Amino acid sequence: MEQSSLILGIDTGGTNTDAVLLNINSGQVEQKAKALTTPEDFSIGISQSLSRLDKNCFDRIKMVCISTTLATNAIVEKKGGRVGLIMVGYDPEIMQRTGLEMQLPVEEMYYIGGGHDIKGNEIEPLKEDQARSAISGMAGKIDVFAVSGYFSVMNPDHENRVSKMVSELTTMPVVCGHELSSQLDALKRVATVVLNARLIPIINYLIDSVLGVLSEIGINAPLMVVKGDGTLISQQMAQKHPIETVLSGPAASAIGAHYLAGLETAIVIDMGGTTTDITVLKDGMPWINPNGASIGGWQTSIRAADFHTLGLGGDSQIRIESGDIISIGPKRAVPLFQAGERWPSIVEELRTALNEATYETEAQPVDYHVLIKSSDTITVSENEKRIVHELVKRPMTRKRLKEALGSSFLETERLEQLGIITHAGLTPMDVLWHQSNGTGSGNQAAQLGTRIYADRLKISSAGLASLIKLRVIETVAKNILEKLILDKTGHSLYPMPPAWDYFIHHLLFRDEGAELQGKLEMSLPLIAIGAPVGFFMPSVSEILSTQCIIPEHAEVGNAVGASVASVCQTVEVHVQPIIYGTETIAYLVHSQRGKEESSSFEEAVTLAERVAVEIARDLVILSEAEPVSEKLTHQKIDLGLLSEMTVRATVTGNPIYLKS
Amino acid sequence: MESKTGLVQSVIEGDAEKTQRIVQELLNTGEDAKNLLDTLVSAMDHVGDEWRVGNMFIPEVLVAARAMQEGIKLLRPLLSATDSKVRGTIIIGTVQGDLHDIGKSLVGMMIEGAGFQVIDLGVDISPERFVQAVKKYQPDIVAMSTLLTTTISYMRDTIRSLEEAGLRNTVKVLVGGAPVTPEYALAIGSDGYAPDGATAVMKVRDLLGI
Repeated sequence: MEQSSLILGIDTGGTNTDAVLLNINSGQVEQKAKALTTPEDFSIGISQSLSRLDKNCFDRIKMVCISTTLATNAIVEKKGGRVGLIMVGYDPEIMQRTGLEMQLPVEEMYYIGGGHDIKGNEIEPLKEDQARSAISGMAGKIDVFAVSGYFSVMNPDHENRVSKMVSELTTMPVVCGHELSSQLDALKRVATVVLNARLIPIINYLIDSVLGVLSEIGINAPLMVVKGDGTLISQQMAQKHPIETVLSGPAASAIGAHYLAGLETAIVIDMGGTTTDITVLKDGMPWINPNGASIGGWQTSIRAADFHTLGLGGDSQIRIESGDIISIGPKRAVPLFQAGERWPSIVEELRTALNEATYETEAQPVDYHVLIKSSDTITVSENEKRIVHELVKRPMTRKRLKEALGSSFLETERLEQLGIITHAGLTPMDVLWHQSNGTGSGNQAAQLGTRIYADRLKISSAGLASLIKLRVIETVAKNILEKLILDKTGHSLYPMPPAWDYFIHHLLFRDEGAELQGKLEMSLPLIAIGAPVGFFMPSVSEILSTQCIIPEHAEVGNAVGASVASVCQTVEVHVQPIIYGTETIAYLVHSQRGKEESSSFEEAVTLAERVAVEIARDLVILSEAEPVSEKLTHQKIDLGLLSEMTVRATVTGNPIYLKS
Repeated sequence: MESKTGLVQSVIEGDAEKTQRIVQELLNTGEDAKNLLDTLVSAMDHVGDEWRVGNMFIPEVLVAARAMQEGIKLLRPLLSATDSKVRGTIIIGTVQGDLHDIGKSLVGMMIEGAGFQVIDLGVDISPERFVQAVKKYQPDIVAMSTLLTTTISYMRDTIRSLEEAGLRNTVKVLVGGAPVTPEYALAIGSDGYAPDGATAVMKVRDLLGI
């Protein structure tokens, strides 16, 4: 009997790159693998992760789905291609006053005459001569054109005409605002279209290198990319609209949690090495913020999973601050149990440090600089060169490194930023790992590190372990409350005045003998995915009086989400009245295709439904899928004859690659 | 010797001249300007109440508002920096296609009487003109009025035009007028509804957290 087909799901997160092979027939995860993410070039980590899968089944792979933090990282780190922006009918004064003109990451920008009003009527004819000189003025200095028109969601005509001119005059790619959003707010749209344009060269590079890795390793299957709402698009669509892939990590984890746990509605906690993401799962999909996603300080009009992130993960570095206060994160460190395996010299040093109590003289008891990447490709200063030279031999604490260099001046900052060196130190995983009583050098490093911290704080190792665990549990629980309250009210719980902090603490933890005894009850269950969740989440759910599900394959839940995601496109079309003279009312239908008019409301809504479904079906087909189901929802503002309606069509499809 | 009761009475009667005279007399006796302002405003509140229960009619309310404004004119230079400092700026106008002026002006005067700066844009104000005014004056609140059922949808158009301009989050929107209902106000995405001037003043205070 022929073996059934597989889907390869890949997730490149902040710390780890995970891969899973999902059996299409049984729906079971057949294989899984993990490797460290390589932020400087994701394809290296992907290649390493894939090399840990069984090559013999690669010819059964029908489709590869990837979720990646690439787009999000690029926006946060302000990386991307050179963008030339043309704004049609925009008000320069508002652009300046809001600071947007200064902040938008573009090479050059032009304001040209044109634009529409709320009914999609021209306020001013498009100044084609201005458009032409803007285009030829920027060609050659940029990689991508971005076009954004005032009220283009009510009438895309001016954007389309400028876009056509770009194609006639140059060979460069061009993106328009109305292709990415049907929401009002010209400022959000211009930010969205610029960020999207900027990402195009970056996503092209990723896709090319991933395709290279796949073909090298012997996987010949088409590539799909996870969107920020947890659905799939084709590689070609991702290359055109890369901004839609932002926040695909948390979205994929929600989809994976839904699949693995079989729950429709829950709070999903995805704890990775560096961060923990909290997402609300509603009816099997991540909850989407109707105001659009906010990424790296930019308010965009992109539909994406709304999640709350905190800088706390299994590999967060534990530090001792003044007054013997423990802090965990937000910086990540190579955990001692890994560092001990990789650099066995650390074990001996830790043993000596513990026996002779030399850790007392260090600012941090256990904090090593380690070399993780060659510095060959960059130019380094003399000081940096000597640091690299020393660290090649073995990891060193800051104090040791100063002694070795014979200088108290260490230029480590840039080397850290470039990912050449990083820290190794005590992490929550080490503290809890040591309880497992393993004997390898990794376990020894974790145990020694824990004892050093415990000695410094004058408590037992077990005492330190429960302290760290309690701290993580409390932080996660408080952030779950924050997410739920923020979604409902739009206001943050924090910073919290001390009195309220005391109050919340007593609701979460029952202190024996305290005057105040309370209990919080959360009606939503928790689904926990990610590697370290087993240590913490059962206790988190306990103090929130709810159920916690840690499904099988939780440690690769995100990649599972990528492999089970569906193709789905949602399109909105607006219907609004227009009054001619004093008596005549007609109805306008506004879509990506343009503006159409109808004499009755019912007719207009029927037209809107048809147009919305058609556009959504076309997008599903462009995503390399066959439409299988469609759903219409309506949002009406009932004003009798002057009613308005937003029609939303959602079309779901099956990837064509999975057809037998 | 005139009293504050007399002042209240003169506003209710709509006697601008008398109102000014009493204000001046009370000032001469050393009465605090801020207290007198409060008295004038409370007199107008009373007028609003009387109108709501049907004891007074719009023309009477209008002359009362004028009387109050005349009184405030004398007080304004005397109010201390903190008292007279504008508590907030409101732009007000009747929407496109609607030429009704009285109700809107009355509400404007009452809000002004409560110590806010009011910029009256007039009548037949298109969504674009509201947007331009918000850009120019950078107000805290945009107040819109309409009396016609046909023009009511321009309120929605104005709010949506503010959204497109990226200015919706910089202002609160207050709507009112005969055909407007609280449900409609909510549905079109405004921040508040006021059926009359006195409520409008209350809503303005609420929206600005005063």
